[in-house]
Amino acid sequence: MSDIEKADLLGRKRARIWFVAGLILPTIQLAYLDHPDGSTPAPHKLMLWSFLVLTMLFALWTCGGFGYGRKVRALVNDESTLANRDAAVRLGFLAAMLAGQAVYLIAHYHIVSGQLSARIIITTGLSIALIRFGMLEWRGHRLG
Amino acid sequence: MAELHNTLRTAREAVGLTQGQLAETIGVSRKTINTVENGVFIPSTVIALKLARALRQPVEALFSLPDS
Repeated sequence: MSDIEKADLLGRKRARIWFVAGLILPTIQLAYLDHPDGSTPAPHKLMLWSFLVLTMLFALWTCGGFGYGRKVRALVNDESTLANRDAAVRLGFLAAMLAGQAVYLIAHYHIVSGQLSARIIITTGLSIALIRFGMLEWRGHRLG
Repeated sequence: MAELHNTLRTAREAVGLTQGQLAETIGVSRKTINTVENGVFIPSTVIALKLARALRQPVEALFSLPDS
């Protein structure tokens, strides 16, 4: 298999992974980490949450592709991928700002803990960016 | 978003290259060729010049503004 074919295969697989990762983040938060009573989550849950966020942030920032060799990584993270990543990060930033503003307004009527506020803002921004990145990449592979 | 017309698909097919072969020649992914041909992605000057060189055409023959 040539490097171009490897990059093509990896790019398609990765587009699906971005999309699913963007859905997993809020799902895990709701199913496992949510504490409606406002209590502080157990330390292992805090660690899991931090690990998830940092991993996804790292993957989004670097575009991943490690372990496939330098040439394949350069191909799969080429100009169009970086443009898609930039567009996705822009949308994620906007979503995070809007989520922050929503939390600010809600906090006027209900007590919202600092931890919960941070999680809402991070989850919204990161999830939207990952989902958008996956969609843009998938569209690029499907055209033609 | 700015619009840029291109004749990349016609030029590529005229020299008998697949998207993958052209991508390999200029060192980008097949997706980039695909998205440029479909007008979804506007390439940088460097990629545009590499495409022109690979297809042995002047860059303005491959890319043009809508009103030109």
